[in-house]
Amino acid sequence: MHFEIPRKELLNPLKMVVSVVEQRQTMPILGNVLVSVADNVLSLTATDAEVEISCRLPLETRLGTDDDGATTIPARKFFDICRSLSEQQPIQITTENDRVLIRSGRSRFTLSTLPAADFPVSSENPNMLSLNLPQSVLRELIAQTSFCAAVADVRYYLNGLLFDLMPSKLSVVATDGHRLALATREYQLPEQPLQVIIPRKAVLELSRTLDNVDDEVKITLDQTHIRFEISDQLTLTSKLIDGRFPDYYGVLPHNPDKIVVATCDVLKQALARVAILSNEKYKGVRLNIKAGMLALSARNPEQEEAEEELEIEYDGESFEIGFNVNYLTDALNAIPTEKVELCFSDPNSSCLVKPQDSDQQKYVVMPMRL
Amino acid sequence: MTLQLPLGIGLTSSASFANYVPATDNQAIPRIVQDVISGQGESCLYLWGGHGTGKSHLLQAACQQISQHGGTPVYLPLTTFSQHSPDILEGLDALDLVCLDDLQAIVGLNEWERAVFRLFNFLREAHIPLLMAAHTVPKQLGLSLPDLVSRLSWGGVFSLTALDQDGLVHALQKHAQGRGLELSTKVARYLIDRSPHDMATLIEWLQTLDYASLSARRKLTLPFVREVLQQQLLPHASK
Amino acid sequence: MATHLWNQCLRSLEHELAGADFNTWIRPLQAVEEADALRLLAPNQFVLNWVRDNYYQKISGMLQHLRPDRVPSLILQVGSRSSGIAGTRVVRRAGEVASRLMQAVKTPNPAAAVVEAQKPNTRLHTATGASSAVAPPLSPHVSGLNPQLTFEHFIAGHSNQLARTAALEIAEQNDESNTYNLLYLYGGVGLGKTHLLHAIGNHLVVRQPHTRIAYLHSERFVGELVKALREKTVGEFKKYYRSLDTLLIDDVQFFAHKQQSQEELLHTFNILFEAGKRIVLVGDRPPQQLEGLEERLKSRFSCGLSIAVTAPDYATRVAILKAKAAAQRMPFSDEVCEFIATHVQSSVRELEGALHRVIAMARFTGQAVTLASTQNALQDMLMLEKPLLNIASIQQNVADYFKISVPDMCSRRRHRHLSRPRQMAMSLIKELTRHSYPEIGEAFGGRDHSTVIHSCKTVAKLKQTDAQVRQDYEHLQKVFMA
Repeated sequence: MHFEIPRKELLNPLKMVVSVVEQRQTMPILGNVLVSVADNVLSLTATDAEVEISCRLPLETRLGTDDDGATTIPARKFFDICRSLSEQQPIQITTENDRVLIRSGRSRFTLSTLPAADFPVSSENPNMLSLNLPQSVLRELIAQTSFCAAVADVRYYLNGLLFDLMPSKLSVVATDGHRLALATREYQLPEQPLQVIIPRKAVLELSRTLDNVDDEVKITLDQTHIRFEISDQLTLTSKLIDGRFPDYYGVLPHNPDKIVVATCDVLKQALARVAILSNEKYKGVRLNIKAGMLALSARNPEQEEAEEELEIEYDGESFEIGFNVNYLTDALNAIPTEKVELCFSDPNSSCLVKPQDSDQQKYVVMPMRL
Repeated sequence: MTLQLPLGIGLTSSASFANYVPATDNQAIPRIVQDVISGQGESCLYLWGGHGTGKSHLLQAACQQISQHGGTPVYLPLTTFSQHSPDILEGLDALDLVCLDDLQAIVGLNEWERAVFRLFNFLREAHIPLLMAAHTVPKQLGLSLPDLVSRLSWGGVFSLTALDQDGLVHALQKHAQGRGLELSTKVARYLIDRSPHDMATLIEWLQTLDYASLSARRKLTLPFVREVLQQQLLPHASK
Repeated sequence: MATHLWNQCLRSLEHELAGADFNTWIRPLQAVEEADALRLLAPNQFVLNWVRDNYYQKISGMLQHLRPDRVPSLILQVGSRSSGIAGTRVVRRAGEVASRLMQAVKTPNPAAAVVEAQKPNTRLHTATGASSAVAPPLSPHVSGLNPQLTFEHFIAGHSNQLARTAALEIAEQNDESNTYNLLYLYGGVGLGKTHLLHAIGNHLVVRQPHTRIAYLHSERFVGELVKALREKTVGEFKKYYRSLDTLLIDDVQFFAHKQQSQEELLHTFNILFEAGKRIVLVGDRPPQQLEGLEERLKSRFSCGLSIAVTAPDYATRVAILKAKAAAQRMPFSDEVCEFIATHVQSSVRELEGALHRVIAMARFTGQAVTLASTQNALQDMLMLEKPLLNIASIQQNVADYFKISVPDMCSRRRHRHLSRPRQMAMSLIKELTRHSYPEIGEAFGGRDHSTVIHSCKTVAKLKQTDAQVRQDYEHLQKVFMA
């Protein structure tokens, strides 16, 4: 295999692909990136055995005709070398037996390789269902929910995002067992409704590759895999989490009778100040709500105290409730509107946080007993 | 004490044949129940055994299976109903499966015995499967309607025995798995040794542990389970 | 009809409700999805009221969540999805679900699956047996007959020979002849009286395809009359029953104290009887001894031939078993039949129960039925017939054996001469009965279940190491098992 490519063309795609490679692998070949050349196209593929990212780059300069071929190169080193090379010189890559030679100007590097045939590439295109979504919508849905997913919980369903494809809408749900995020958009699903759970890591990788543009992402999936074709060049394939997602509708508060309307930014800033003196382990903050006024307070184990007051729209009876301040702040950060609604029923039940006058985003946060 | 309340989210492990672990002596039972509800052989079946031997589980598993195939079943634990009139039994011959649990609850209630008898006859005429469960064999229930007693044993009477230690471990782990939890054999044994050795109690405990683990973001390790058991479960269980 | 929306509600409800409640209240509902409504059909008013009071709001909320753009209205009513004549509809529907299930039931035991594959005939037969059992009635003039229950399938013996002959004779009578048209059969439960009623009907269906026959249980007569009164269709009710050529009524003792039904039965009886129609009645005792029945009715019942059916004798029991087993393509050897006939004596129904049990076990294991497998299959059933095996009797026997009193044995005292028998009694009860650890503990002066578990372990250990304990235990075991 042999090809030449300008550094600036290679670097970004390589960065994107290599990001999926884990620092430590169970199989050595998972530390490598698959590099192949065929029909004037260079393909780069990396995987952690769950998520696979693949990039296709057209080659303009070819040095010979029998230069097609494939190999796998240690990903991290390959990327670090390319990044450090000079901007001006093109990069030439040539395989020699079980090694690969990287040249640029007066620099030469030789890296060991592993056979391309051993690289675990994801199988055929998943073909059970296919749909298209604008990049911007997909990006937004993920940004509005993914922060609520758990990291490495024993319950498999907490470690991913649910894509709930219903006949007239698409919902994305994430929960870590203490709070839940639900983002919904109208969408006419052409086929049977379906629920799939996408691993958190795949979603994070995906969101890195998405831009705020209206170009469509083509999504195809089957029982075990989902593939996102982000552009002609970039494809992300992920295994799906095997199993059911619990019923999330049941945890949405159904008849909250105490509705508080606050200015999102003011509330966020007040919470940030009070949080300084909250217990570092539990992050508890107390909300004291009465007509027209919300008092926030926090106290740490050293008995140091913080208090804040802000004006709200509320005319019901007074009550008090405690929360992990981070859960509230995370939800508020994801809400773009000026006004935010906090809906309560009682101090042992969840609170619903949502943008005013919109049902596109819902955050359910469980209280804390302080 | 500061305590983060968890969301009421989680997987329910509804009773099904897949999560039923039969005791060594009961290996044949799930299959026999399935034969009855799928219209092979007899159309009624009577199961009996002590508390926590899996009678209710099997009856509900049968309901689950019938619904999955588009049928309409009903499960009636008669203890809940015996204080009321037997109106709940009306019109059940329009369904595809009727399950009567805790038959002992209606012993001596003449109106109920008659109603069950009537239901039995209607279902039999229409070839609708009927599963029944009680704590002892039909003859020892003490029913006052001999016609009913003799019908109860018509399709065959099968007893259920309790699970032994290994069976309990296996069953408990299976239920944990159904909830998306991992339960090591060591921890399962620990729980079983402190329980009254019946699945009903163990499943309740598992539910409490699931909730506690979600709240505290802890795995079901031995120290964690011990803590929950001592603080929440055993004070109630030891009476 | 798509019940997609309802399926989504079901998922949520299954999660929210405890398993039992879901199976009790939600699963029996049938859903009909219409353009702008979800109609839920409950089997009866009781279920409907409960669902309305406890789940209506919840379900409405779900519909709002699932289809916010066009929220369907939720309608609850008593009913059932398909319409038509109750009997045939149900039979057909049950058959459908059953056959779908039959294909879907997976064999949990690979060994059994292999055996079944080798014996396609057994399989085939059960399948056809089931489907012919759910076949709709043969003629529109016939209601309530089970085509399986014929004279050919009826095993006659000393105890029921007379009844069978009388039944066959009345079935052979022509409609016009007025000589012999009333028969009353009586006897205890489960002796085959119902079988004879159906056999008469089935025989007539073949002989006279256009004759109008109804078989019904007296409870159904009562129920239909009540319904007719409520729905103001008594005229039709009367017309139907009075137009029959043959009326077969089972368990007439259940007319007791039902004045209105007795009145109606009497009229029907009189009209049919005078027109020379066939009437066959079954009761649990001779007509004159029926309680709660009007004298007029009792004397009408006595007008014809009354014949008793008694419990089958040994030879008949053996013959019945042979025939029933053969009909299921599970041949039973003589010794198997003799074993069952010896141990199950009271009624034909009980014999059938035992037979079904043996066959079910054989199907599961895939082995032929042998004496050993039969003993095995019926073991616990036969054991329980012995009055000896309950907590009190085991306690008493153990206490007698060790020459101590039951109260002492159950007391809190820890002396060895009391604690050893106590542990042994607990262990025996656990082994020989179905009582749980907590129940046994309760019977021994309110001890904790862990004490019982500990006792059983101790006895198991001692049996290995202490010859005396082993001897005592085995002796007691023999006493109870004998």
